[in-house]
Amino acid sequence: MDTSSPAAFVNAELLKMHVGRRVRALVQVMRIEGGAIMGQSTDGQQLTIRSSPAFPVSNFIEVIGIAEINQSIRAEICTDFGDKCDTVAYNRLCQLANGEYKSLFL
Amino acid sequence: MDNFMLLYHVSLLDPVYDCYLAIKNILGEDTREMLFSRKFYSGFNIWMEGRSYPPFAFINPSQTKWNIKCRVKHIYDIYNFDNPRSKGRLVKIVLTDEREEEILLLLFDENIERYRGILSEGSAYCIHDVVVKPNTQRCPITNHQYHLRPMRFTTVLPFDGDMIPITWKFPSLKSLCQATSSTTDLCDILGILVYVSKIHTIKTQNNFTFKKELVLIDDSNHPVLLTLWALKAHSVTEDMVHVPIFDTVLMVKAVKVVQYQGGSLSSTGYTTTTVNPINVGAERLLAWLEGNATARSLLKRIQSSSSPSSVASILPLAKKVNITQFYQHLQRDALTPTYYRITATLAQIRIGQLHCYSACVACKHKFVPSDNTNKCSFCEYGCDPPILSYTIKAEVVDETGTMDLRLFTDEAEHVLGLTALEFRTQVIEGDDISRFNRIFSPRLWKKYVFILSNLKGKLMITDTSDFIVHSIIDVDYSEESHALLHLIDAPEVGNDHSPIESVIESVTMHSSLPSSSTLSHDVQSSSSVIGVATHQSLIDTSTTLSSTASSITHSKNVLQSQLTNTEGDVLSSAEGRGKQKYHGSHTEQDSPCMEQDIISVHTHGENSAVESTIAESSIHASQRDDELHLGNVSEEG
Repeated sequence: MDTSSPAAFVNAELLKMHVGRRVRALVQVMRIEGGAIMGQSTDGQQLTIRSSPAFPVSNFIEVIGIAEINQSIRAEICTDFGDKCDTVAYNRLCQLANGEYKSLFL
Repeated sequence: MDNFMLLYHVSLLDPVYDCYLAIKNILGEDTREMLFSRKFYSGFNIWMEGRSYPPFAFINPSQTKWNIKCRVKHIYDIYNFDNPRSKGRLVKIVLTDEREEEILLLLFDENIERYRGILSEGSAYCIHDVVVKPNTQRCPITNHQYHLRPMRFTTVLPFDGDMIPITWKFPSLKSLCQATSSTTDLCDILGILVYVSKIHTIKTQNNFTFKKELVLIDDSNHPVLLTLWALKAHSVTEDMVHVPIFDTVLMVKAVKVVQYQGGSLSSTGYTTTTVNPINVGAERLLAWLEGNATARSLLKRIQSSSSPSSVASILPLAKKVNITQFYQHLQRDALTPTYYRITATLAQIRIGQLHCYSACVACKHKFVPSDNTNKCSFCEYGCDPPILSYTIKAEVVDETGTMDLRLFTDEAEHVLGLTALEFRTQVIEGDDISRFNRIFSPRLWKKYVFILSNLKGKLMITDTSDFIVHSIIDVDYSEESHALLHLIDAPEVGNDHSPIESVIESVTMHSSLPSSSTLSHDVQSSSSVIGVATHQSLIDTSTTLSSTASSITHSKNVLQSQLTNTEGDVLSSAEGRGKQKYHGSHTEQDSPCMEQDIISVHTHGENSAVESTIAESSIHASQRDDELHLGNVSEEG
């Protein structure tokens, strides 16, 4: 297992702190435009997912990739989480994993 | 007597020849032609309009005979009574007036034939010269102080009763079962059918009877147990053989609230059931369930539990605790049961505590025939042969500790997937020493919600007392994740830091290394954080799990690199929570197994790391079946 570059749990707000680094985010697919997915992050803000295959609208996907500026992620791995997901819990995880318990994850 | 009244009396009664002759003699003329003439009817209607019909609230013994306008709300079945004072047949009819007040009309013996053919449910009538009597019943169906009884001079005339509506007011099931004061009042209920049990034989104080258990739910979102006794159990069975669960509404009249399992309902001699009744709001209930995902999820969990009828009534009362809190809540010499639900992982089956036995059908005790008869020595029941049952003792673990639980047939079957016969054949009688790994290992390390009470049950087989699991239901991961979040945010009492902060402080400050005993506690507490981390991101995909595990393994490596590994102590957070506790209870033979677990974490590929690090995390059982081989690690190693 390659643990050299762990992906940080982020939402749209926390993405800005990890530009250029590997991140993972839970996104609900809102629409697909020109090969990019416009999604809503767990904190309600918009994220753009590039280089991603298509997923059904309204489904939740977890995206692992490199964070870019302008609230976008260049996807490496996308996983379909289905149409039901607890975004509140995931958002809280993002806050914990980047806050007081950051040392446990990164 | 008014001529109109007299003639209608004759016309509406069953043509009792004696009565007709009596009337003819009194009037001295042949009244037959008059009975059906239009002039007669129109005259009667004019006469009717002049009458006054008081509301039921005004009926009292100040006058013996009353005239009422009513609609028949419900006609109960014929009830045969036989007591030292009298013997006979009785039919109770519930009448309702314009103000929606209700009163009972009682028909005894010959009056049953006389009036049951005339009165039908839902129709409106004018009833004249009905006698009022005080309501001395122990279980009044209506709230009225008095009831009515027809006499030979009572007349009944149907009429167009649009002004008398029938509205059904059903109390919410939640308010019924949570009523703290006991009452003998009967009530009517309306609910969606969730579960129907088989018919059970049960021993009462002096006899044996049958019972059938139903679970109903209404829009109060409170599932309720309804027990049907004796003949009701059989009659309802015939009505509900093919009804689909969740799509069937049941209206049950004249049930009583009993303090069984924290508040449930029981049938009485007057209970009647109607499947999918019309005009009572059944469609509204079904629409509510269709739009309520939370309720549907709860009902599915109840249905898939080991004993749905038990879960339905206990689950709302069972307090969610962890193992440590359960022991803290225990009160010495408690007499009444208090129910708890503990989310824990099945860690071990106690090999020396497996028992297969024949159980009495009625009392469920181990069947020991009395003398030379085939009757149970405990309850004297001998109609049905004993059934094969089994019991196991299991060790379960959560983030705070371990405990042993006793599981009987239904719960054991839910966990092991073995019927009693299969258990006896494969486990008890099998001489294959590796049966443990083959049969039990795939079943270990699964998380369940165990519902138990604070009272231990004594076993006749082993003469020991154990905490007995009343029911097992599947884990609600959403609820668990929110509970863990709450645990993270709540600091420990008497400690400024939260449990996880204590661990981080000890690790990052490179101060004197904590002893293994203190670390074990901290690791257990911190594992809840890991549990949250894994909870949040765990969905049914191995890719996600492996990614999560990589984060956890990375943090685990940080911890391990800074802590000594003495006497095989397991220091990784996920495994350590359970295994560290095991170190004290396992034999030496098991210790190498634990060490190999650690080795396997570092040497196996990504998926194996996923397996071990998420051992204590909540993932779906199907995923874990494929991935968890903790019991077989010793073989693989």
